[in-house]
Amino acid sequence: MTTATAYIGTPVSRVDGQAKVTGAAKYAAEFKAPRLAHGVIISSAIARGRIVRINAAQAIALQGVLEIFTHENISGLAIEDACFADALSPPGSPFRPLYDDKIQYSGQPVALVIAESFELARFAATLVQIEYEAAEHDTSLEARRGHAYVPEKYRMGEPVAARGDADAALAGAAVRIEADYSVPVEHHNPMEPFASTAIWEGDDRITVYDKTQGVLSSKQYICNVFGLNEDAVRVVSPYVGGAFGSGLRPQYQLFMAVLAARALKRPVKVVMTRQQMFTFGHRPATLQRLALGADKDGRLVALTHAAIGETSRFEEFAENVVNWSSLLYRCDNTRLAYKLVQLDLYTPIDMRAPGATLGLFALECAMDELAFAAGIDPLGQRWPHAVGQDIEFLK
Amino acid sequence: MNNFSYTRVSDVASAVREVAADSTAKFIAGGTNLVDLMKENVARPGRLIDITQLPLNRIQGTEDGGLRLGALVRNADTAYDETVRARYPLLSKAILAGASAQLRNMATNGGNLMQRTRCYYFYDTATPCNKRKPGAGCSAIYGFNRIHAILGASDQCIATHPSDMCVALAALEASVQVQSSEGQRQIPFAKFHRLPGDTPQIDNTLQPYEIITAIDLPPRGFAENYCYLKLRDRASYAFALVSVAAALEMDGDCIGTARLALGGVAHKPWRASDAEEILNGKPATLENFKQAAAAVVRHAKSYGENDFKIELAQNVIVRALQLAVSMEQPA
Repeated sequence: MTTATAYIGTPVSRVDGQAKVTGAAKYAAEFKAPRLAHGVIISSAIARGRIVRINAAQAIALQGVLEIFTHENISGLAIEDACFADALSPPGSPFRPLYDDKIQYSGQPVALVIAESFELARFAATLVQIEYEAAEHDTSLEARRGHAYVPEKYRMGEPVAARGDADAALAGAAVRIEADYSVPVEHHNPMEPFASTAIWEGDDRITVYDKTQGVLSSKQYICNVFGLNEDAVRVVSPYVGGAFGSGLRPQYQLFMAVLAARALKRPVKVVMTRQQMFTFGHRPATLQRLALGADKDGRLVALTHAAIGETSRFEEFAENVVNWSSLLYRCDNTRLAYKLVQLDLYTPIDMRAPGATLGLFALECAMDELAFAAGIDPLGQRWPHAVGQDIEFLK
Repeated sequence: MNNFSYTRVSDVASAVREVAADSTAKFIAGGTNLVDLMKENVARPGRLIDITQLPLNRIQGTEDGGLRLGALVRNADTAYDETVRARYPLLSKAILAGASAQLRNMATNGGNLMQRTRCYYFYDTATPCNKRKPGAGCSAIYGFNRIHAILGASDQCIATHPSDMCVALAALEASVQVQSSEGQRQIPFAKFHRLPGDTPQIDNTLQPYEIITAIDLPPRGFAENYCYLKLRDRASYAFALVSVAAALEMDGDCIGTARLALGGVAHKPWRASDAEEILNGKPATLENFKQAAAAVVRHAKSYGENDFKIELAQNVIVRALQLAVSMEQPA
């Protein structure tokens, strides 16, 4: 009989390990097809404002440049917002690539250059002149913390209701600490960049090799956005070179590759640059304040934890940052709060232990501070309150 | 990337003749920086002259008892050369503090001197940059400038020189051997790189028609008391926020001769002569180290995100001097 413990202490090879380390694994950008065309995405140079003029004449004149897609020349897409949403879209209005002249964040894709070779597409992209009208932008959570609001919908569960009277308990505590924790934006940036190779099969049929953590999500997106039948769209993702959550939603290179393949009736590959890997979802920057109180023996008697996260102006990404603080340690007087600030950035996306990484980092730091203030061993201070110590495994 | 032509040369005379004949030409050796710049459309040479076949790949003694490092010797081979390790360990340590093993295997000594700043805005062609496009403006002065200069910058450019190797070469008073069709000349290391002033597009005093053939190290190697201390945001594969090359000749408990150079703080490897003067002939005490460090940053100017560098630089100087005296290795 195989039990979980049979694997403990025994080396186990990944199923796909050998293929990956020997280079045999084929990733989305490595699929080829006859007449494959290459796409390079141009990113916005401003963080907010609008595109006034696009002059692509010099680029399109180059022999081998096939097309330059912008908001000015694309058509035949879904009209409804809902078509651009996916199963994990937070509430709001999903981002639509190349939709209009509006710039909502720095690095927003504004044009797609398609050419016979990657090198030519990249060179042609440098010749496309884009004139912007820049508007003031807000990208600093710290600067906008005064504009924090309570989200309409808690995507991952709302903060646990207050227990006892945290303020009174804090005021009466023998030992008290208060501390602020600030975490900057974190980008997933896996080794494999986002890439899609879209093979147009004719008769409105398409096969897409996509870097994604959810082929069905990518498939649904393509069907909805481009009005294709479900049985005419096939999305394949044999290997993923790291994603950490960033592949949970379709990313904009998928839209770009399918858009071009459909319009040009030929296979198209679009790969994000390393720089463009910073231009979509991320773990949100977060500001946190904790106040902890303990009695003279170091026992936790009061806990307040307030967090402010960041979201875009078009979707409301709320995550569970603070609830862990009422779960991990026994405390009779707790109060938790979570708010959001809208910034001119792309909407955050889940990243490895979303919310918990942020909240527990702050909580654990604060517990250390409390133990230090109480003059007791930080581990010894935690143990008596650890919830779940009656679990067999921990004994 | 622009289209470009490619020529391979096999002797120095042809190399300088080819480069002088085409104002869009650039030499390429290891290519660890130039190829990146070409991919980002920052460098747009019309022609690449491959110099990897030139006979400049030896390390050998000089007549005055110093050491000549061929321009095409790879950084890794220089750092692990037995003579360099025995006589100029400061240089070896500095080289190994930079880049990654893979890059050091490719990058050449001459190329290390010629590498360009890693200022974010220099690389981002969507933003103004006086170094990339003179007169366009500097995005870093009011932008993200954590990695930028605190010494010798101008209102045109606050970029830093990124090399670790060059910081040690500045402290060791190396000289750069260059050649053109006119003949050979020697550039003292302190005069090789330059401050930005009103012409930040010019990194150094090498003329476009010249080639670096070697870097000469003088006989004094400071092998008894030295330290290369580099502070950065990641423990490896990151450029210095501040680095210090300290080289001392001790005279009992006193400092006979001090050499001090800093990286990550200026448009060029920053030789701290005023601090050296304070240290020369003085007891090796914390008080004197602090006084020397304070002298280095007396005219420092910071730009917001790099404010911390003024204090950090002083701390790194003091620590590097302490380590050079004790010869403990930095953690």
